[in-house]
This record gives sequence, C-alpha cells and structure tokens, in this order.
Amino acid sequence: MESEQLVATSLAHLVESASYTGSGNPTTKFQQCLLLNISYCPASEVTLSQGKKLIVVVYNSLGWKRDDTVRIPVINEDVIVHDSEGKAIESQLLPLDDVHLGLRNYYVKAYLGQTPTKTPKYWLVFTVSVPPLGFSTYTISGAEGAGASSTRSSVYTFQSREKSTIEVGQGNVKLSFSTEQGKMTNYVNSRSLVEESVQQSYSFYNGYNGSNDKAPLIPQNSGAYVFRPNGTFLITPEEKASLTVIRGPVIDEVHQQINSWIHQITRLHKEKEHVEVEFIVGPIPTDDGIGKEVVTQLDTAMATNKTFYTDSNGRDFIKRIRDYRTDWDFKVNQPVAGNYYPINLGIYMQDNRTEFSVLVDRSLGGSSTVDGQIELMLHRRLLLDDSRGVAEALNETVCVSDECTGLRVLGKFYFRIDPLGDGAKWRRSFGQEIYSPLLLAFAEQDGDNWKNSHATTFSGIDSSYSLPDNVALITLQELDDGKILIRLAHLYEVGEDKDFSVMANVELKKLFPRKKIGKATEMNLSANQERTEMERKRLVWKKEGGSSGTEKGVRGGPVDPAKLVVELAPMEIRTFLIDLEQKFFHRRHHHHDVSDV
Amino acid sequence: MATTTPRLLFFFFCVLISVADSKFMVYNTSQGIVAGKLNVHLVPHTHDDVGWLKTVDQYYVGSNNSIQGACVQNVLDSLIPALLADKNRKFIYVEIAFFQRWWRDQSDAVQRIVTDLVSSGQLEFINGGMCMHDEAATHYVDMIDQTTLGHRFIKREFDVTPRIGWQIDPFGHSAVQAYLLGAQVGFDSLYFGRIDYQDREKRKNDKSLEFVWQGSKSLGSSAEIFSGAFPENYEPPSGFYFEVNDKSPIVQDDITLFDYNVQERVNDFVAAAVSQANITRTNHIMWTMGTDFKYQYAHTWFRQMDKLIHYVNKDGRVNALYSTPSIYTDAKYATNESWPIKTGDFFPYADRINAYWTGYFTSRPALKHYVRTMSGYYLAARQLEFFKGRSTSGPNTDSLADALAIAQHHDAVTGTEKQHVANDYAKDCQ
Ligand SMILES: [Zn+2]
Repeated sequence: MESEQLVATSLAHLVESASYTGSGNPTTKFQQCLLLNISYCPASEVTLSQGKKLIVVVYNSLGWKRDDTVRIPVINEDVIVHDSEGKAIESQLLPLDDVHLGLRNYYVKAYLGQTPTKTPKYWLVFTVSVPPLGFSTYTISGAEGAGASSTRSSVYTFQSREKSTIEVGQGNVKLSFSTEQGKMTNYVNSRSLVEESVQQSYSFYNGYNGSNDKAPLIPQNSGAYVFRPNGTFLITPEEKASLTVIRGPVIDEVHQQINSWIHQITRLHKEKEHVEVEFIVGPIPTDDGIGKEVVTQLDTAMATNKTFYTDSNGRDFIKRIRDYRTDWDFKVNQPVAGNYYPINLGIYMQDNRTEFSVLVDRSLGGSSTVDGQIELMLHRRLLLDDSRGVAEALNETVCVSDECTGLRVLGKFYFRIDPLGDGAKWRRSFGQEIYSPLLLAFAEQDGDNWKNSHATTFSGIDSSYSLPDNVALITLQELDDGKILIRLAHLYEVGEDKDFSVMANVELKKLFPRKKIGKATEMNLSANQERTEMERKRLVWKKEGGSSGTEKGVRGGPVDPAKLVVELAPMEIRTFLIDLEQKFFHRRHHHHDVSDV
Repeated sequence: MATTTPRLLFFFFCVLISVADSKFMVYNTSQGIVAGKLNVHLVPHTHDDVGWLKTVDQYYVGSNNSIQGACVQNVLDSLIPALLADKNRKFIYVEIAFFQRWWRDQSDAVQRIVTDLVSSGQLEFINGGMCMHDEAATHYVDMIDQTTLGHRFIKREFDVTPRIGWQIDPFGHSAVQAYLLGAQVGFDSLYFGRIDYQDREKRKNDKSLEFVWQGSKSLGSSAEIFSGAFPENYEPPSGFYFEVNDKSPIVQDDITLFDYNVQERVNDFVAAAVSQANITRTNHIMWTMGTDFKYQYAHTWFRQMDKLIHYVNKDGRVNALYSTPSIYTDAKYATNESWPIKTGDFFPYADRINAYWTGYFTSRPALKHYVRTMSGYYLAARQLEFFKGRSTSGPNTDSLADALAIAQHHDAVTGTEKQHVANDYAKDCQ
C-alpha cells in the first residue's frame, strides 16, 4: 500500500532529522503490521539475540499526550523493554492462545497466500507514553542474564464445576466472574465508588424466512439490508466450558470459550477504568439451513426507562426511546429490528445514579430492547436474499486452497460504568483513542546505539503545548498547492459534560512551531469556499411558530489574524486553509522539540 | 395476421410519404417559473452507484452487463450532445468518482464544452462528493474527507461550489448529514428518498415532507437546513420513464399516426402533478426524472421531456419546466412559506411492515472494521506526510484517499454489495 510506504519514509525522515543533511533519502527502513489485529506481525516476530534489538517507534496522531499500551507478538521468552530515555520499563508476557494462533494462520494464508513461517509464543505488553502528534521510541531486546525483564503472566484455568468467584483487575476497576456460571457477575470501581451487577451473554436470532408470509404481506426475508429475526436463542456456555485467568503487572485477562464458534477475552488494563472485550465470532453454523445473526448482551439492574442514546456518525448522541418515535404515533411490528440503531462510536444508558457506556471499534447495529440491557449485533450470516436488489445472500466465507468456511469476525468493544453525568469524558476521549490507535513502526538494530543517530521522541506541535481535552484535530493535511488544510473539532455537546461542554481555544501558532503562519483563512467544511462567503449566501427559512423554541446555537468568534487563536463552541468544527512560511530567522533551538539533538 | 391486403400496403406507403413530408418541429422548452400556477420542476438525473452489483470499474466502462446493463461512460458521453441540442435542457451530476474519471478521459475540446455547460448552469454538480455516502455506517471524518475530495475537484476544474445535498438513496438519514455535511458545507437544501413508511404517510397528510431540519442540539438554528423527502422515491412518477427499453408510452405527436396520444399524455402529466401538489406546500413540486444508471442514451429522455414541456404548457393547466434542485430550492425560498421544524434523525428506516433496514448496520463486519481502521490510518498518514513535506510524485496518501472515499458509498461500507464488489473495495484500500 502506497500510504504504508509514505508512513514509513516520513517516520524515517523524522527519526533521522537530527543527523539529516537535507539530501538523499533516509536510510532507516521501517516496517508496519497492518494485520496486527489478527495477531500477525512479522516485524516483531524476530529472534532477539546477540545485540539484535527491535526498535518500536510509536506514533500518536491525537493532539494530546497519550498513555496507552502496546501489544505485539514476540518469539523470545525473556525480553526487556527500554523507553526513549533508555530506562527499563515494566512489561508483561501473555501466552498467545491457540484460538488466536489458529485464526492468524488461517487468515494469513487466505489473505497473503502463505502460512506464517514462525510461531510467536507470547504477546508482549507494555505501557507507553507518547507526545501529541508525535512519537516515542521503545527498544526491545533479549534479556541477557539478570535485570528487570518482562514479567511472565500467571495462568490459571478454572473448570466449571469449581464453585468460586474470582476477581480480576490490578487497578481501580475490578470485575468478578462466577466460575460456576462461567460468566461476569459484578463491576466495581474503587475510585468512583460505582458498583453494578453486570452479566454478559451471547445470543443469536434466526434469520426470518419470508416464504411464511401470507398475502397481503409481501414475503420478507432477513438479509443484507433488512434485519428480520425469527426467535432469539441464548447461547449458553457449554458444560465443560472453562475460564482461564491470566494475571500480570500491566493487564489481567479472562479467556472464555463460549461455544465451539465464539471465543472471548475480557481484558482489564491496570491504568484504565474500562473493560475491553475481544471476541472471535464464527464461522456461524448454518448446517440447520437457517441463517443467524449473533448479538452480545450486557445486562445490569439499571432502571433505564426505555431510554438509551446512540451516536450520529460518531458525533452527536441522540436520545432513543424504545417503541417510540418523536415524529409520529409509532405502530410497532418488529419489536427488536424496529428498535435497532446504527452505532459508530457508542451507545449508553442511564438511571438515577449511574451511566453505562459501550464503545465500538467499527460501525454496527445495537439497541436496548429491555431496560438495563445493551445489545450489540456483532456478526450475521444469512442464507436468503432480502429482495432489495443485491440478489445475493449475505453468506461471507473465507477460502484457503479452494476450501471455504464461514467468516470469523474478530473485534472489540469496551464498556465502563460511571456516576451519572461522568460518562462523557471517557466516551469522548477514549473514543478518540479507538478511532486513532497508536501507529507502530518497527526497525531492527544491530549493535549500534539507535539513540546516538536517531531522534527518539518527537512532537509535531510546540513541545509546551497540547490541544485542550475537548478538542480534536481531525484534519492536518498538506494540499497540492502547498496550503495546509486543518480542521478542529469540539468533542462535546452543549450540556454533555460539566467541565468540557464549554468554549475551547486553540492556538494555531503552537500547532506549527517550525513555521510561521502567513495567513489563516477560515473555510466551509469541505474547503471549497471561504466561510464568510458561505454565511453571506445562507438562506434563512421561515419556520412555523417563528423562531420561538429553537436555540440559536453558540459559535466561536472570528479569528484575530495576529493572535491566531481559534474559539470552538460545543460541537463546532472549524476548517482553515493555512499559508505557511519558513521561519526566516535562525532559531537557537532549531530542533528543540526533538529531544536527541 | 395471415394475409396482407394490397390496400394496407398502400396505406403504409402513404404513411412513409407523410413522414418524409413532415418538417422540423420546434418544441418550446424555454418556460421558466410561472407565478400562480402549479410549477412542475423536471429534474433530469441519473443515480450512479459507486459500486453495488458491479464494481466501480465495471460500472464505468459498462462491462459485466449480464449482471446489470449499466455504463456510466454511456451516460456522460450521450449527455453532452443532448444538452448542446437545446440550451434549456438541464442535467445534474452527482457522483464525482465517476465524473472525475470521465473528465480525465476527455479531449481539451470536450472539456471546454463541458466547462461552458457548467458555467451556463445547464450541467450542475449536485452533492459533489466522490460518492453518495451512507449515513448509518459512516464516520463523520470519512464523510467530510470524501466530500472535500469531490468538492475541491469541482472547485479546481470548474470554479463552482455545489449548492445542494442530494442523498436520494441512502437507507435512512443522519443528523450529522443534515447539520454538518449539509449546513456546514454551505448547502442550501438537502433532498432524499428514503424515510420510514409510517413517517411518510403522516408527512403526506400534514404536508410536512419538506421542513427545516435542525440536526444539532448544540448548534441549533445556526446549523439548520431546508430538507425535502420525496413522496415515493427518487424516480419519475409512474408512466414517465424514458430509457431506451422503458415501457412508458412516449409522447406520439405525429397526428398522421394511429397512436397519436398527446392529450392523453398531457392528462397523465397533469393528474400526477396535481396528486403530488396535494401533499406539498407551495405551488412548486419536483419530479426526479431518472433513476439508477439511466440516460445511457440521454436523447430518449430529453426528447420526451421536450414534448411534455411543450404540450403541457400549451394545455396550460400546470406549468412544466426544465429545472434543477437549485432552481427548485430558490423557488421554494421565494414563496416565503413557513416550514415545520425537524430535529433528530431518520433512523431506523423501514420501507414497509416487517422490513426494517437495520441489518446493514452490521452487515459485513470485517469490511466495516477495515474501513474504520483505514480511516484512522489515513488521518495519521496525512499528518506524517505534512511533517515530511508532501510529494506529488513519491509515495503519498492520494490513492488511499480515493479508495477510502468510494468505500463510504451507500452500497460499500453498508455491506449491501455483491461479494465480488466487497472484495474489490477491500483490494482498493490495499
Ligand atoms: Zn444507490
């Protein structure tokens, strides 16, 4: 992929900028792992020995400093991780389980046509800290002799006949599991003092076969467009389902084989207050001749009064009320499908004490079809077409050597419970982290000290600056004509958060520390006209009842061309075209934000 | 018939003679808006899916026609002479991924002609993103990026800015589309085809298919947009389809022929117009004259619309005109009518009982994940591209931008395309 190449050379330029002479191409060759989500990363699956070290450059595209974890497959059993300053940091090795390995080998063969030659034994997990729009560098080496090497996780498998409750989590959030039921039972946050009984389960809906429909009804199958369930079936963990608990200094995990085609890992990061659930669903069995749509349900005792909230394209949250429509007297004929809404960022529900939020890693459908419950549809495999033109059943398969099996879907969702009114901060800031995961670039180092010849940290913005917590930089792009296109987005709605639903300020000059802003022109959203021009032409429509009852909406003020501070009101996005000039005066600390000069 | 009498042969001979005798007929298509009459705005359009049953490439060149007879090159190639034949004819073009490709294939001479058609307003870019993006399974950053890509192409090549949102096929409509990708883009209105069947019934009764949409609680009326949901769909009223093989009766105005039907067709036209006027505020209604991949031989449509405009206006009960959504919007605005306010969105969408289009929110979850992953990657890659200094020749982010843009199409990230097309989108992103 061309962009992958671009990323690699750009990072090479940046790491070499300290010694960069301004001529020729950088020599550092970075590799990336775009199939890391299926546990495949040839760049990190290297044997580290005799001074051979793995350099991991971790890039953060968010406008604020970020503490996060990196997770990569490794071969060595004893490794040690050093940070940008050369300090050994805590890391943890977790076993790479057979389910993930099997999925990895099968899908690598299907996508790339070859079976991976190596078999990593472990996931290496460590905590990283990365500056805004910048990178930090981590060095992984074989732990020779003594020293603070990676902690191997403790692993214990509970059989379902054992009656006990186990608690996992090294940080503020602890989750309890019943080994007897093989499921999660309780969530507690010792900092916010929130406690809630939470149970998670999987179910499937049978896809409806419309040949049962009698006139005047038009036959309607469940298909690629239409969701039409025919009965719900709870997937109960099988008799001998076990529960494996993996503990360590950075993360705790609970592995569960729910049935022969659903596997999941529930993960708690020591420094985080949310729960991460990683699932593998599929191949969905259809040997009974029936298509199925697989959902997971999170159940609580919360009294949510038919109400829940879902995002609009990852931005504003819209209030949803079960079996109700604001604009007309709704006649319910599909109590499940008719209450489904699109989810891009998340879904949440509230009662008078708490707020339960679930965030997703892709778009999917979801609902709250019973009070206190959130449901996400994770996968669907159907055998009939739903008569909307595509004329094909949604029956995805993956093939290796002409043998095809139903698609397996690997994904994650995240949930967290907060005191009422406190959920937005996590939904907005962690939502940004999901959308913009850390970008990893790998290089191998033989002998020489990387630090001496490369920058190990970098921030594209002024080193003393970071974007306010309620603002994201959603575009930073150099156009063909050399102008820079930027967009700043306020992440909160009016009234969404007591601290962050306020006017925010961004100092444009701080975003371009090495350059001088010649001119910043505010544009419309698609950057094809100046904003003043757009506002001048705007039609003002007459509304029934005049303008009474409608809010005018708050906006940030005009940008002073000398100060270049952009004000952003809640939910406002502002777009600018910027002319940059090279700073003509010599800066004493030319690379002051590249630490290794 | 078993035998043919000599008399009948003679009759055929006379007909041939009379055709040869007939002279060039001038249809008056110059009619504009007429105050005090019901104005029927004929909006000629084609809906060109950027991938669905066929891949984007197959739709463009017209291959794999056994699946669907569709060729975008035919549409645009035949459109230009059809517009040149009569300066009153108008057309809107929507999907810039196709247009851009066609544009790059044209000679300087054709490009000059097209530029003139755009500046005269005969050819108008509507919506103007690379595709008509989905509104349920799309992330707002992707919607902005793909719209920007199309809009900046149009601005660069033609120095115009699209005025109208035209989301006629997506399966439900989002608040973000209205207030962000509508009002904040600078659109004067937003039109679409699919809303819940129960909602549509109510809106027909209340004459509230057109309204002012305030999609954002936070930005309120500062981000509102005039919006219209079509009474049925984005196609013409039944009986007014004029693609080469369509079944609708053409306007047969040669009086010497047995199937002369001008009065009949005018009556059909007036009846359909009046029925739509009964559910619409003001004396302006819009007819969406076209549908999926139509105008492959553009003359067939324009020939009939020329005649309809000519004879309907001669009849005088209603006023028919060549129009665009911009002209229609300006006409609505000029009436000074008051419009109902809509908040929230149009999800979920059902087109009839038991048919909720909520499956596609999840369909093809692996493709959806891939698109989301590439979206975040593209954002980061552009930052790095800027830090290094952009190169137009070396590796850059342009191909990812194009691939991601078409993946936002309402039969792409939605998961409602055929399997071979889904494979093609994923391949393009690599
Ligand atoms: Zn379409």
